[in-house]
Amino acid sequence: MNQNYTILHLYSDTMDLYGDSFNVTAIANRLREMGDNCEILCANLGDDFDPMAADLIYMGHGKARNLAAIAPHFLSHGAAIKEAVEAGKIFLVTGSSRMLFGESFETYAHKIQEGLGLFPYTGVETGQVFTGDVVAHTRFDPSLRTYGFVNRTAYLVGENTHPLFDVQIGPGDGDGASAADHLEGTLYRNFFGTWQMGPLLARNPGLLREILRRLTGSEPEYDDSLEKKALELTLSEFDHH
Amino acid sequence: MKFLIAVLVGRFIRFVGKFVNRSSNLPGQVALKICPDLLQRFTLQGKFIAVTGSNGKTTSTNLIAHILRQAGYSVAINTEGSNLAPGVATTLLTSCTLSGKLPQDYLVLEVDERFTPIVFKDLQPDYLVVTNLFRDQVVRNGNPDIVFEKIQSAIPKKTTLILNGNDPITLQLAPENSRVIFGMEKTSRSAETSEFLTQDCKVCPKCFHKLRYNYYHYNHIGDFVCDFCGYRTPEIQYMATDVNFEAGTFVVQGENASVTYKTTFHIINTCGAIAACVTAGVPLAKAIQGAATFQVSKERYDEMDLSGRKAVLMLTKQNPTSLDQSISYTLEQPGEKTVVLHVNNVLYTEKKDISWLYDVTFERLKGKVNKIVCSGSRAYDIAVRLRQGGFTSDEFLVVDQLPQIKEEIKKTSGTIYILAASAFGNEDGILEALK
Repeated sequence: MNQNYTILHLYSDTMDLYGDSFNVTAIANRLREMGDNCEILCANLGDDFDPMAADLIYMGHGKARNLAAIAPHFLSHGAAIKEAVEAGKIFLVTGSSRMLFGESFETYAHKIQEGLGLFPYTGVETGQVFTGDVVAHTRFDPSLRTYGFVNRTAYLVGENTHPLFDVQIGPGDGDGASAADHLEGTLYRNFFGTWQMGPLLARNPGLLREILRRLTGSEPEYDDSLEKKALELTLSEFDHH
Repeated sequence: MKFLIAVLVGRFIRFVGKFVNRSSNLPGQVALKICPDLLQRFTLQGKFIAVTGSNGKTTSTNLIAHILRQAGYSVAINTEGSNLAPGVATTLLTSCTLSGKLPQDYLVLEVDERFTPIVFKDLQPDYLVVTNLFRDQVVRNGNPDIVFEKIQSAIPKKTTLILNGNDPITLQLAPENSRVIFGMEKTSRSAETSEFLTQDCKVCPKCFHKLRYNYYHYNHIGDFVCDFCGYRTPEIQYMATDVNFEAGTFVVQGENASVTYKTTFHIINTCGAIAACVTAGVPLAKAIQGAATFQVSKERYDEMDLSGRKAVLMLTKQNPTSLDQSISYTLEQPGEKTVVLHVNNVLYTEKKDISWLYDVTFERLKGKVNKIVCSGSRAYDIAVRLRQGGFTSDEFLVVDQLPQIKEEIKKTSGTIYILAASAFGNEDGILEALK
């Protein structure tokens, strides 16, 4: 029986760096391949949106100025977003958008911007680019190993109460020096948050399956051997060094 | 004394370095160690034109120098690729007198965006050409805002800016400085909607509301207007009009001009080079004449014969717009085509990020090529990217090991377009493997 799914892509024009939108494409492609319908709705600055009306909400990585520009509009929908997270809606939040869900963060202009307060972290802006490969195990399935890439100018401080990843190689949530740095991302109910930017789901078939499992309520059936092989080759390069 | 020693040692290393291929950066590097304020010590007799931006720096720098030389002026210029502080130092120490004078009529320097604060602190350009800013080499640059801030902080008050009127990002640089604008009118290749995934100005860089385009030349380069705050394409003094791509001709300031490399990208850059030269004192007719005879460097573009088949090599550095341009060029050529996408780990760092490939509009190749061949250390990741773009497994093939590529290529037909990334020159022998 064909199902209809709606993905809400928040700030698709503003929070849009390095192939982020392919997280949405990856989900939609597989749903359609399995015979389901998938509608993608985009909401940008000035647009009204209802997270409860969507099945999955995605927000991507953006430049520090763009994040500061959309923050007030995002927070004006704060109550609805919190309600959706608590109600178990699936969220995927990659890159700097994560900072909106914490207590507060520092903007590019070194002003303190309040966040949603869903998680106890705060964001610190450095103005300096920080990049790195990340190899990690997921909390929902410790046997699953992932590859990702961070490219950011900020880091998080505060306790990570609901980590998504145990980092094996590369930076965690923090500045790279703190003890909690082996933890990365957020997994709270169906909220997935991570600093790892770009086409995370396209490159990590196991992560995509988990999201589709939660979205459809069943084990998704399709052939992802090509994606698995590509990831395996990437991960093997870390093991050989 | 320190200065003299630095210059002499630098020149000696350059002489020796030529035999071991270490002559572009090493001399300047050592000279800067001996005399850290080396760059400040030079005295310019002529005018200084600097060129920076994401794409087209090297070509624009070479083109400006070519125009100036054709017009009869003497020019000092940094050699290809040596656009960091040591490379700039090498150029200066080999072009100066022993007292540090640069006697040439013009100094033309390509300066890496990230190094503009270092170079311009000591050597203030009279003219600065900024070709454009795009998302580029994520591992190195982070994002375009970071690069913008670096250039912004580096621009001296006295510098006249030569800016791309079709680029909403760079037009915001140093609003107090005097400026000359170049650009291109709507052409037969302009589009009303963007066909590219990479668009760095989906929102207005001033107010973050949707930016509307009357037309696009490519990516975020075009004629733009923000309906919310009024930010728009300014009046363009050096505008390419009546562009005929087949003939490679256009009109600028009422005069007929031509190019040998007949692409949108190159014609816009040529207008920038003409604008810079005329502003710096070259008569318009001479500038146009010089531009007409310029040949684009073979470093980034080459044609060859591979076992009886024509092959074209185009290089890029993890830059989606540049790869988009190579795809455009490929599609513009007649005849059957096979495309080789050769992508390795990020140069020097071995980082395995390929997120930038998701910003390249490979989808444009769908149905237009015989086959896409994925190769390099990230070959399977390219295949995954193509799969996400709707390509089926009969439309591409993956080369596991580079030596196998020659056999795999036999399964394809048409002219071979090799689009190679993360590369300088003949990256890990792909051409040898194909021969």
